[in-house]
Amino acid sequence: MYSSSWNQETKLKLNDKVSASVNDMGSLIRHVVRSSKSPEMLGQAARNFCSQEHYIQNSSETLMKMGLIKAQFEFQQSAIERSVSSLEEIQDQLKTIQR
Amino acid sequence: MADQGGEVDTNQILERPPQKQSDAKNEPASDIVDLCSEAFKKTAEYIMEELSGTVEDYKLLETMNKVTVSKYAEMKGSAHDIGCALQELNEKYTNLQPFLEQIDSIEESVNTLEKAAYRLDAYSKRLEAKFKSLEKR
Repeated sequence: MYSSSWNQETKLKLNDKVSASVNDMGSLIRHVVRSSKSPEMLGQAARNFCSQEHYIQNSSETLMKMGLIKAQFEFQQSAIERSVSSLEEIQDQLKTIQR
Repeated sequence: MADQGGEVDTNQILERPPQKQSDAKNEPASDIVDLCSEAFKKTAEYIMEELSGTVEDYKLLETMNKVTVSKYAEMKGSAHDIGCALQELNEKYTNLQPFLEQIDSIEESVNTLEKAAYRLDAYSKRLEAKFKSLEKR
């Protein structure tokens, strides 16, 4: 009878001890994480990233517009090159008229 | 569980009935070993989950960084293409420069011709008016 109650008491104490150890381990881990301040730093880094996203998007859109303008320049330049070939003929006609 | 002498053996109370006495003295019960392993495994999982918040923050930052790197690589490619194309355009514009000067001279000639044409037109109108006035006489 005494041994069975002692056994029960031992089991309860062991149970409490194990629970306390596990809780202490959790508290220790949480304390280590909090004292390293890594959540704050990582959160700040993520916020900085998000704040720059608008500027990056604007730069990307500006570059796309510049690409379109470049393409238009190229079209116009090729049209000018095609038209330049008729300059000699125009000059000859002008010389004829001026005579 | 009492032995043959009627006295209660504490060790035998703590141990399970099917086990042999020699095994019971040297090794703990297999189910207790399993339960201990399970308990330690769960404890390890709990500790890992406590640390997972920071790990997820790092993973998020890594993902954001990778996306930014790809975006910047794309922008770098676009900027490089635009730079090369603009250089080519500048060279072509330099080659076109004499033709543009010819166009300027042609424009001056055409303006001179236009003025001459206006003067001729005005003279011919004056001549017509004088001829009509002479005809009426």
